[in-house]
Amino acid sequence: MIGELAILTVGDGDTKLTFDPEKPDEMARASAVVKDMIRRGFAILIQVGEQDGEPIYRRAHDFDEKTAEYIIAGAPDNLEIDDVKEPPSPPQKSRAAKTPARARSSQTRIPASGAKATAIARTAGG
Amino acid sequence: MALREIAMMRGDWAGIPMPLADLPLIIEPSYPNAEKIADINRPIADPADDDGWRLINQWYSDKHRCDILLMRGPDGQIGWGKVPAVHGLTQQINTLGASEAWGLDQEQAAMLLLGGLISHDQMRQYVLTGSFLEKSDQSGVIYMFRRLRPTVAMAPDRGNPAANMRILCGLCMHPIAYYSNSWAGAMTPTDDVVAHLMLMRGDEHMFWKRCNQHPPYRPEAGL
Repeated sequence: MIGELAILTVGDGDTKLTFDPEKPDEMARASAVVKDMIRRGFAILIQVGEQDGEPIYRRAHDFDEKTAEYIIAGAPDNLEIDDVKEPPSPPQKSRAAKTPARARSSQTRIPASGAKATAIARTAGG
Repeated sequence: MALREIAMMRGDWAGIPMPLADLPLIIEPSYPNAEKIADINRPIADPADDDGWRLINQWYSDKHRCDILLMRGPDGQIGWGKVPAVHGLTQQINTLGASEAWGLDQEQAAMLLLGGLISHDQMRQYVLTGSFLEKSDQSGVIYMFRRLRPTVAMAPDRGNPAANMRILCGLCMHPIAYYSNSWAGAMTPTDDVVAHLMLMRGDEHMFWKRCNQHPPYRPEAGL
């Protein structure tokens, strides 16, 4: 399977980076770019599953350049979205902050070669 | 295309924003060469036009429903004034002007990307009206994502959930940069919508943190 990262860019709409295990050079270059993007504050959002036919995304907190894996905070179980019905106020805390300390300290690794992701640069407000 | 190639060579992975005459760029300060790019096409102030008045403070007055300016004159005198703000026509006109920076191909690519992220009904609404709704399963907040306008965050009224929705605010943010006093970002309009949607889905708390939260009664909210 070939992983794909769409980078939202000025000028091109979106540019795609691919992670193809059969092309190690290309994969190493893409890994270096992703690591650099995380260092520069890009938000990289990984599709981790589906709910009711709609994709579920999580933000990658880091990227392991050696193994080409996205690192997401929380254990795999925490990646499931709760079916919270009607809390009417805007979100005050991140999901990670609501999870128990033990789960928060754990990490999930998602191989880039099998993931679909989108990268968004730091924002200027508006 | 040349700008894109230069950007990739320099490692500016999200490209280089396009400076436009008469529309100053506000660029995320840590972005490479942000200040230099913003200085291109920036009008040079003519000292002859300086009447000596300086802005001391500026704030929004609920009573007057506009911004109040406090100024100091060349002889030390203090004056104040109102900035009328009853509509967003100036922002709309400036947004029209910013369209010069975008390409149809890029917008089409962004539409294709968005089409893969939302349902058929949502995409239909977006193509026909420029907006679509999505409810956050995490917070229960309902978002109205809009092309070239801040995303509207709504929630049921706590005291009377059966009544109409209450508007929380207009959420405005643009990746990399935006054109001052407009609703236009450096990226094509639908790429901005994709950025809002993805951040909301992937990290809702960060989405709110990165956005300017405009009260619904301000022209900047675009309501």
